Amino acid sequence: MATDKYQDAAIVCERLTKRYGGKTAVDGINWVVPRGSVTGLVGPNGAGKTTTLKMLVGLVHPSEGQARVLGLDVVRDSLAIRARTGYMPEDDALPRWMTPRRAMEFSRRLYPTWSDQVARETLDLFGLPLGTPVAKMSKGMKRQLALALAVAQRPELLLLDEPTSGLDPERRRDFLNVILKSVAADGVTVVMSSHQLHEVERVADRVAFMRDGRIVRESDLDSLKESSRRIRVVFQGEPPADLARWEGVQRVEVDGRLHVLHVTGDVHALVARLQTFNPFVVEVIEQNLEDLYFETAEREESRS
Amino acid sequence: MSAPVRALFYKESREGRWKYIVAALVLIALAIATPLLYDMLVGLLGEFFADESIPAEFRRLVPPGALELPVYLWANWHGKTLYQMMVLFALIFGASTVAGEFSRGSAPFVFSRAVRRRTVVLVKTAVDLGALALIALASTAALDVTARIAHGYAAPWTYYGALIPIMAGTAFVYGLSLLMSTRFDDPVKAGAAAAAVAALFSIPTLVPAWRRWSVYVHMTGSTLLASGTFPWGSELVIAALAALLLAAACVSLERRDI
Repeated sequence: MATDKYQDAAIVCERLTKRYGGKTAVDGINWVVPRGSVTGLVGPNGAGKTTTLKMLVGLVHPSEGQARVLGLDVVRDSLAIRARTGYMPEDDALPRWMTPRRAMEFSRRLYPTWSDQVARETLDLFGLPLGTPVAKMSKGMKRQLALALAVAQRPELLLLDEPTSGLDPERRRDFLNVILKSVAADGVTVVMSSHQLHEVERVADRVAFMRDGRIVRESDLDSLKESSRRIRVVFQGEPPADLARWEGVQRVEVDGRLHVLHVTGDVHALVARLQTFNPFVVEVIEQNLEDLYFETAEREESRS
Repeated sequence: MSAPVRALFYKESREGRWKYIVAALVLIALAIATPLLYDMLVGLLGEFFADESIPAEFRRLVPPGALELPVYLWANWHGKTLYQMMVLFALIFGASTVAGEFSRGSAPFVFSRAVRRRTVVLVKTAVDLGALALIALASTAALDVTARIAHGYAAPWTYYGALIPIMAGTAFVYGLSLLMSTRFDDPVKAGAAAAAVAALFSIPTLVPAWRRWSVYVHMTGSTLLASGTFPWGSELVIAALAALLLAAACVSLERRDI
């Protein structure tokens, strides 16, 4: 298998595809998630994020291609993968009669690595009462219980599908802290699909953009931001005629005297060169994940 | 029993407890009513057939001894109420086995745990069929006790021995319903599909020459009543068919997407 060079990766997908009848939900993705990383999987509704996570945990069978999770084949070794993976589905899936206490008893018997201490600490942090059944919990409480169960398994990999939906800002913060604590304490690899881009930006060190069943852009977040910097410059007079051909300048958008330069490489050298033209304004614009998201979306739309 | 299997046993018993309690109460009530209604029904039928204005052809429809207590009890319990109710319970319980997890939205939780899908199915089946066997035993015991108190009649061993054919047939119908339950997300659709297939298996019952091929005829334990010998051969065949349906359900669930 060509994945031998990725022995240290937590997830390796090769041409992973899922079709439902004539519709392709996941379209031959090639994706490597390094161990110990926190990866944000972002994209619009219907991009294929949930189906991808379900294939990785063995809930959905791939139509084509293959994937290895923690070095194990997702089809052949599904049980072994689930034993080492904490999965939090998109929808509330806990049985309605279960209380946190019963859920802990249930999970303790399924996972040899289970930690009551981690479960109780997490439930205490969220302030979840042990005796309240899921049927009487709010959506946020159900999400908190699901996360507490997932991290208390002490898994090597956490697959979280829209984990913070339905949570208030305070609980979201606690939620993200629990995820970060798992990463810090046990070196857990996390893949988290989300529409909350600022949250992904806060916890993730890598990001994968998914669209129409394909991963269209994937990188570590810092490199991505670095490669997508812009310089805004307002010239006093005429701009240099060869500006678009300068080294490091990928594209120039012009709006009157305002020029926005899409740049890569040594930004400071470019700023210094621009300042020799005595512009009114020259400033570097750092892009956040939301900017990158929309930039990627626009780029993909213009391609298609 | 391994720890994951114990965990699943607890979950299934906890989730199914009310349906088991309701089923037991219904069947026990019917079991108690059967001996208690004997005097009234036999009195009414006796008067009816003693009436000479009724054509003799009608009166000959009732075989000799049909109104005697042992025959009445068997015909109304094993020959009717018990097997019919067990078929109904098997259809309902089997239909909700896997489809119920989908309709309640708990399937992604259950099937993403560190346990094989077939283990989940086997534990669900064991809990449901175990509960149904206890319900059949408890209700037959209730019939026996009521018959002793009301009529001084002690049910022979065959009343309890006939629970084996009843359970073999119940397992077969449950297997049909379980298989449908792995193919539909809605227990009502799964139950309706299973009932349609189960109805097809009742066709041999309607043709005298084919009755020996009917699962439902075997469920009434008629061979045991008539000859006092236990019909091992037919029961083993029915149990084997039930096991095949269970295996098919496991394969069907393994192949489907959650």
